[in-house]
Parts: sequence; C-alpha cells; structure tokens
Amino acid sequence: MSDYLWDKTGDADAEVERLEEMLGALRYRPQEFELPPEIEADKPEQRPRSFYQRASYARRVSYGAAAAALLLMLFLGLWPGVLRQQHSAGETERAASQPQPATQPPNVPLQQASSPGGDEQGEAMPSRVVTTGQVITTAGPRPDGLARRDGITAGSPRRNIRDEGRQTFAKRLAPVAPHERDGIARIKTRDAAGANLTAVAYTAAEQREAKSQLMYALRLTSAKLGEVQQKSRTSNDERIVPLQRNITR
Amino acid sequence: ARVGALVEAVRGGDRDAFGQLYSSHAAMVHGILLARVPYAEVGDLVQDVFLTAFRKLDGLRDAARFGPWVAMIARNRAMDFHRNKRETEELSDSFAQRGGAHDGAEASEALEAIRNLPEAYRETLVLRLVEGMTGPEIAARTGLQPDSVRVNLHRGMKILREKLGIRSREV
Repeated sequence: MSDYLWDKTGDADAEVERLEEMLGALRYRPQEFELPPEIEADKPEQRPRSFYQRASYARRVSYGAAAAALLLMLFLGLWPGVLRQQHSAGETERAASQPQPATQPPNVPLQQASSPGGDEQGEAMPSRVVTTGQVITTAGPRPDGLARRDGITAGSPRRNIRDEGRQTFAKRLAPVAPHERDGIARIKTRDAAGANLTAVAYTAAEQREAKSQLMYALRLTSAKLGEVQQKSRTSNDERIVPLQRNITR
Repeated sequence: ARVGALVEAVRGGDRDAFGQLYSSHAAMVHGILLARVPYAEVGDLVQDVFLTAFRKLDGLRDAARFGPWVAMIARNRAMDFHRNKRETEELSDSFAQRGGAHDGAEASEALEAIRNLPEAYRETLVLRLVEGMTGPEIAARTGLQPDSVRVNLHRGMKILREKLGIRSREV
C-alpha cells in the first residue's frame, strides 16, 4: 500500500508536496562541525561501579521487581501470622474474662469423667471450634474418657510432656519484663483427634517484634521500588519521552 | 551497529568519529529544535546540543541508541531555551533574507501552524516536511515506534490541513 506521507511512495499528495517545497527552504544545511580543542569528554566515575550500577537499565528494573516480589512474598507470609497472633490474643482475653470452672491441681487426676456437654459444675461448655492457635473447647467426652478442663486433659499420658512444655513455657517467659507478663496470651491447640497438645505463648513483645519485622519488610519494599523509579527517571533511556508523548496524544 | 561503533570510537579518543555522528544526526536535531524554538536560534542550539552530547557521551548506556539519546538532549535544550528566553527576530524577517518575502510569509505561517499542533505531531511533521526525512527514517533516528510515527504523521497532517485551510479562507 503506497503512502506518500509515510515513505514517499505511490501517488504524491499535492498538499504534502506543496508544504515540502515551501518548508524545504528551512531545511538544515550541512555545516562543518569542529570540536573545540579545549572541550573534553567528562571523565567517568572513578570509583568502581557496583553490580547493580553496571547492569543495564532493563536488568536493573528486573532486579528491582524481583526484590519487590520477594519482599511482597515475605509480607504475605508474615501478615497472616500477625493477624493470627492478634486474633488469638483477643480470643484469649475474652476467654479469660469468662467465668472459669473450678480447677484442680494439675497432678491430681480427675475422678469423674465429664458428662457429654457438661463440665464439673454441670454447666454446658460452649462448643466452639476455632482456628489453630486458639482455645478449643468442645462439648462431649474425650475418646479416652478423661475429663476435660480448660482444654487441658488431666491424667493424660502426655502429662510429662505437658509439664515439660510448661517448663519450656516458663523459660520462654523468663526474659520478659515483669510488666509485660500481664499481657501474656496463652494459647493451647489441639488437633482433630485430640491427641496432641501444644502450649504456645505469644508475648506482647513478640507481637511487637513481628509487627516491626513486617513494617521493616514494607519499608524495604518501598525503598526498592522508589530506587527503581528514581533510576528510570534519571536514566538516559530516550524511549520514555516518545512514549509519554504518544500516550498523551 | 555503525552508530554504536562510532560512539565507541569516540569514547576511545577518536574525535573525527564524532564528526561522522554529527553529520548523520544534525538534520534530525535541527528539525527537533525547529519545532520548538525560533528559526534564528536553531543554528546555535544545534551546535550546543552536539557539544553537550560529546561531553556527556559516557552517560549513554547503549551506544546503538545515540540518535534517540541526542534527540532527548535536543528537546531538553529547547526547554532550557524557553526558560531563559530572550528577544529574537521574527522568523519571517530572517527567512525573507534567504528567499522572497512572499515565500517567507507562507512558510512562516505553515511552520507556526505546525508548532501549534500537539507535541507528538509537531516534531514528526517538521522532520518529514522540513527536513525531508521519511517515516522509517524518523522512527529509526528518534527511537519512536514506526507505527507511532505513522499515526502521528497522518493525524498531524489532518489537523494541519484543517488549520491551513481555515487560514487560507480567512485571508
């Protein structure tokens, strides 16, 4: 397909020809160009360029995008954990505010198996199953017939483990400042079969640490993205200007 | 590839190689400046642009893209000119010295009409109608996509026809 305006092929466009003839008088006329002897090219930077600086523009953009994606993945991995901690802390506080059934010394096995739907006081225990990491209180007897009490099984063959867990639990609490103990959230989890028992404690300090890590990851991501944007603005890639012009028109 | 080799030669100290770069890209720079600044200033600014390009050549990452890079320098130089604007003689006066007064007036009017077009059309039309470059040459030198250049040429020409048609009826 001929297009005289595009590549001067085909039938000439009369108006275009007229404009070419009229405006051709303004055309550039070749001149000699001599570089003044005193003009020298700017010296390159003396200090060695880093790997990132040596990389081409496209590579730097890809490195920056990869770093941002990695940090985003870290953020997505940390965020649910932070949410779980906050939610569990809230659940535990609510649970702590509810009236608790009478407790027995941990080493004394309960004589009476819990009746379905009831605890030692004969009150129906709320039946709610929440996500892992929260207190699970279910109605109904344990498969082994042992009593339920605050989610802890008494007389369980795993008591030693539980005691060890408490010791570990205490060790974890040891570095915590006394004023922070008030904010301790104790969360016990149990799997579907009720066989495993895990004691996990998240202190307020640990929550703050997780949150600060998350904020650090976000700041790092933001800094990396800003750096990539800054590099793209100050680069000598001339494609940006024409693209911008074309987009606006 | 040839442009890249010339750039590398200049970086290696061959100042004559820069003369070849100048010869091959001066018309484009002239057209870019003509689309933005008064005609009387274009000649000096072309020299400025190439002096700047020589000094800053080490900042060019891709030697093969010397043309688009120096085009960007030319546009920036035009912006700097307008920031430091000073009185200049009218285009028609200076052009009249090179040709007839009648021709100067018509060319001045046409160039003014092109300068009033949107920026994307303005530069492309000057390179095509004034400097005589074809569309593929414009795309290769400036780094624009050929399809973009083609669209800019046709749309710009359409608007230019309307403007010039309206002016000729007013006269």
